[in-house]
Amino acid sequence: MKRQDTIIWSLLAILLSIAMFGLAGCSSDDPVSPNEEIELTAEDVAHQSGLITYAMAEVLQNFTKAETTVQMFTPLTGFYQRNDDGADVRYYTLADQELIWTPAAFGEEIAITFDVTLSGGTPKAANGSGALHAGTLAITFDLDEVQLDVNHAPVAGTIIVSSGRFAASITFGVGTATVQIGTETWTIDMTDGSVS
Amino acid sequence: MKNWRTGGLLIAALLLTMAAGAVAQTEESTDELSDLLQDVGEDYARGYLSPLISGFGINQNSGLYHTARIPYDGLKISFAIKGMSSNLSDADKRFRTVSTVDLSDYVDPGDPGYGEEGQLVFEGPTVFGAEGETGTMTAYWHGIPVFQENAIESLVDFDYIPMITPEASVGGFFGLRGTIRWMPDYDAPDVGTIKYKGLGLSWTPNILMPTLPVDVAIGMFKQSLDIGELLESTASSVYLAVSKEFSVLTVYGGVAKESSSMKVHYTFDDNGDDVPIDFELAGVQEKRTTLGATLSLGLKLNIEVNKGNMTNYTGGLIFGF
Repeated sequence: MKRQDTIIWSLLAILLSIAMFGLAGCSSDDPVSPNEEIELTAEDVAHQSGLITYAMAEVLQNFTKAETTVQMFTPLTGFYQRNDDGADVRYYTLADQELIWTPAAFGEEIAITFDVTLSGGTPKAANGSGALHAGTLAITFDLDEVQLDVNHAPVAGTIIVSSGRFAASITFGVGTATVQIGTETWTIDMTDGSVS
Repeated sequence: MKNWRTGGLLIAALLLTMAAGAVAQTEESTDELSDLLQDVGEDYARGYLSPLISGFGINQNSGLYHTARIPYDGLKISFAIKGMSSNLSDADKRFRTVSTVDLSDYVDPGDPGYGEEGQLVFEGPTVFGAEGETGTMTAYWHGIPVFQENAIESLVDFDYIPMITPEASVGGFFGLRGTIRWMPDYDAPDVGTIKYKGLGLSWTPNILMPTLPVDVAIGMFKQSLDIGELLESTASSVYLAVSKEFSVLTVYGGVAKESSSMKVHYTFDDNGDDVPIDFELAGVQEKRTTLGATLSLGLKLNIEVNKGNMTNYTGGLIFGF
């Protein structure tokens, strides 16, 4: 009888455990407040790349100034630093610096930060990285051997933009830029950053 | 024993008075909540109120038992006051929702995005979010913000959602226990009538198997809490509980499937036009695990922790079984 009782209790313990697991399983610990994200498409990233391309082309052309702390007035406004080591010149934003651009068409602020080095010689080449922030939009980009003419306008080289799960490659020509994501390509209007 | 009963009833009356004070505080907060909500539409309100809706339900579905032992040797009556607190994580205190919209409603003709689809993002502090921060409504075109408007602040910066409830139980026959949670209807000025009631039934299979090494109970509970015309919440739970007595200490645990929902009614001020808003939102939590202990010293003191989407702590003062 004692052994029978042991078997009954053991079976009961097993049945209770199964019942408890079946009733509750594993409780979720997801937050109770929604936290949704915008789902981006390749075309979305192409448009974002256009903004970065226009903004950085304007910033590169502002690199002709020689102050240690440089102020930019238009179309982006703000301050950044310049450090000339005799061979290369580094241009970068400090932690509390950013260049603000308010596209006339949008009316909402876009902030650009960067750390770019111009190599000596002719033509000059820009390499470095940066980021764009606007609302919940946060994009990073890298400059890869972007060659500049005498006015520091980009005429060759590449910017790689990372946004969401996409990587866009922007290639400069003289007065032109194209963005490619996978096999799709778009043309960037260098007067305002619009994409078609 | 007579002195214990008299003392217990006096303590219960004192705690009910404190609960009424908590209700009066609720009345003032509800008025402020109506004032905040009138500046936002339904889509924003759904995200903003989400921790309130889930938290109310989680609190109501807490403290449903303090032992799995149900006597079956004659009539037993008990009274209790239960206090609950559901903890809010940082992620619970903010929200972000995304919906697809026609950007023509947010940008001017000729601007990028006019006539195209884009995303409308509502984000910011929830009703229990950080103070000093205002939510926003932002329209995005290709992920680029093209329009933004301020929304509303939080009502109160809380890290937890509290609740207190009295209850009475009757049992002792056929292994059954019936429990009622109830407070008298309270007419709050500017808010309306506050109503709270709940009914539960549990049964122990120990009556069929008295030699079980532990006490087992299965039960269900259904509750409703209405605050004026603004909020109507319901909560229900089905649970399985197990407990073991060790002298004056009872250790118990359980699992439950539960649900909760809240109907929200308010008036949205849409640029001078009063738009009635009515919607119902379900609480997020569907399951929980409970672990608790009860100390029997004439009267009983219990404390439990409930794990689910929120961590809930519940304590109780029980007079009777």
